[in-house]
Amino acid sequence: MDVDLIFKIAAVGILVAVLNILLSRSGREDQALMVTLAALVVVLALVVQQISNLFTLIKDLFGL
Amino acid sequence: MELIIKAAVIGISGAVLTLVIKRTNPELSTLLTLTVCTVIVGMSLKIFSSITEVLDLIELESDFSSAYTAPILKCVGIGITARIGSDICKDSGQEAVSSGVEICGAICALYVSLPLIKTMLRMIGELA
Repeated sequence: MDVDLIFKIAAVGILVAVLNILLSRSGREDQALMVTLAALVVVLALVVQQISNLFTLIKDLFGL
Repeated sequence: MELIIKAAVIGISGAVLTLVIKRTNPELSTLLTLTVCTVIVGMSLKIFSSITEVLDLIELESDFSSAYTAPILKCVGIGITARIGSDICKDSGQEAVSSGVEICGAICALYVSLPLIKTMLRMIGELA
């Protein structure tokens, strides 16, 4: 359970926001959408492992 | 107890960061909320094992069997899981899904406490 992950996700979010604005302003809306989707997939891959860890911990601890 | 201070600091920083990215990427902000929840709950569950140790001690010292304490522990686990799941759904605006998770949690808690209810009924039957 590391706090670094929170800052990592926030950094990805801010970066994607900037890229999104840049691409939208230069008239490439399709690429902006692709960037947003790619960021979502990357963050989801980062988070899924942590969530799985949490639920396994709860399962072990409470004997569910 | 530095854990609660840590949890508060992580929660506040997470909330501020979520607000920053919510305007442009609402889907990423939901994931960020979920991560903050995971980190805080994971941290607090680490000290939960000492509570289980005390429960084991009570079972050893008295004739209080684990059949009574196990459903309580399971209900706590189900409650934590259902609450986190339903609140995340509620935060992303899905009230119906969150109600579904809550109802499932209630039914699961009832299911794990069935043996306890059976024991109680048997005890009443013996008394009468």
